[in-house]
Amino acid sequence: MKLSSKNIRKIKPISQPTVAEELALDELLLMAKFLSEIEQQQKLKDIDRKTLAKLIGTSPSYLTQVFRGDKPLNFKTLTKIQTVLNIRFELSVITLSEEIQNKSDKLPLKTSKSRILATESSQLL
Amino acid sequence: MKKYCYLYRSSKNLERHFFIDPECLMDIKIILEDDKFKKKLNYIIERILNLNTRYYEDYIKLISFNELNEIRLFPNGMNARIYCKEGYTEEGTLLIIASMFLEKKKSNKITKELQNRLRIIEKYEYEIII
Repeated sequence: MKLSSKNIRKIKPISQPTVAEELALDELLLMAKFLSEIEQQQKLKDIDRKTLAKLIGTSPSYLTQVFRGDKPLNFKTLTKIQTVLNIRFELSVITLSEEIQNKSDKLPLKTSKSRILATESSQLL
Repeated sequence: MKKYCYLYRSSKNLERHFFIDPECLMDIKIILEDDKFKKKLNYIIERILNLNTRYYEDYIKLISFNELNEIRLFPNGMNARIYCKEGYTEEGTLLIIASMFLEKKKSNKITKELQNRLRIIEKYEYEIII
């Protein structure tokens, strides 16, 4: 594939999400960060979705809907997953304005951003 | 012949961009009128653009094709696909281009006909117009 571009940052998108849409997307993205970490842990521990569902006492179809972003991930389910996978989620927060300083004009927002890390519980002890 | 495409979304750090080929723009615009579909597609795009691990069950790398991926869309009983090309600029910016929209996919297998269409897409050359 050949691609050429001069300065993509100057291009205006064909549609801009509304403030409400942007907020909803950020909510889903935050959820996806947790789910992505869980998927990686599942791969590492060779636990498929069916097994995970059984371990936390829910149905595989419910988990599939959560992983596909069709249903919200609640903290109760997240806590159960954390327990059965023997991991602990830790948060680190950075201020986007700090990132702006590092990346100059890349991020025009002045809000906070969280990074989620899944850590093996045994490593914490 | 080089093709052009439209910017749809960019990642928060502006290191990944999602474009749409004019040939499938109308199809995507029509289905985006459905709120459930719009929410689903935007979620997938947001995930692809902003998470380190962009591949997951609704964004699959097509092994037999070079730099071609599949977005799987199932809302409202639909079984649609969007085939995307991926590439990098010289500066390392990831560009994802929705090149083909398939409204109804009957099975997970890639038929001979679809394979031929994807082989054509594989050879597309895109130019990002500023």
